[in-house]
Amino acid sequence: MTQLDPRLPLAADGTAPMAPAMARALETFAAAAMRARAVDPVTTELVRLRCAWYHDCRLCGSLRLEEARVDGVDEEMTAKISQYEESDLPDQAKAALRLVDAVIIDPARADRRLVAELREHFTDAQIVELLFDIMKWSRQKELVALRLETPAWEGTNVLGFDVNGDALIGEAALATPAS
Amino acid sequence: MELERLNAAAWASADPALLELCRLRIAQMLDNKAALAGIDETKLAELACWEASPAFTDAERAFLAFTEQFVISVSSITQEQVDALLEHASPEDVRSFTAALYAVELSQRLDMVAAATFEKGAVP
Repeated sequence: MTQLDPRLPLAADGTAPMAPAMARALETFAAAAMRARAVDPVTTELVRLRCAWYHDCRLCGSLRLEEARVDGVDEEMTAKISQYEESDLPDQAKAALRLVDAVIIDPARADRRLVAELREHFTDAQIVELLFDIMKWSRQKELVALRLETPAWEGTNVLGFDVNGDALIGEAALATPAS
Repeated sequence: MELERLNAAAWASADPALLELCRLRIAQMLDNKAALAGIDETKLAELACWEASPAFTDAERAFLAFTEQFVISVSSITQEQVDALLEHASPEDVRSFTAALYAVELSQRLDMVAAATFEKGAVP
């Protein structure tokens, strides 16, 4: 067993089941968060990958949002996320990433300066969407804690969402109109 | 609405007494004064030093240790910490509890940041 193997004994089908009502609630919340479209795909992707990086989620870190790729997010930009404060990422992106850090690292970072910065770049509706995105992309904490987030592929794969907010991976993500 | 449903499912899917203990410990770690308001001070003082306190059962101690690591650095949780949970709960219950912990922790974090960001305090 390695440090990254599942930490729970798995069922015969290879899964680690949880209470069905909780599983449904997680999916419903995630889909609702992903249906919101007030924030541009580039910012959404940077936020998602900051969460993946901080939580050490191998699954999220291996995915690339197709809409964001089309809008210019490449591996060069992705590599700047971990050290974004020292990067040349735009001010709007940095404001969103600071909001991520306020939520997932230390809520005390949500000070007057950050609030002013957020209001300079985002509407209230967009800030709310970012907050729910951060919560959704922190769901991976549950998977990482139990090391249940091993991707079923090598390297990276394509991510998209259908009109219901449900995740599509691989060919299905390329085919969806939302991408 | 979906966030409320998620939290309702969390409390229905996990041992509520254990989850409440861990919710309070999370609130202490995050310095979430709103979540600690009205809670007995003696109980909170005991909880703040749970490792040295005889007031907690082995199960509570295992779940508190797991919770603290979950909050501080989730990727640093060890197999031993998960095994300690499995001494007191089934694999399905551990999975459900971990999912509930996510809901409870991130909801607190979201509330705190939203309070600083929006005048009304809660996520609109």
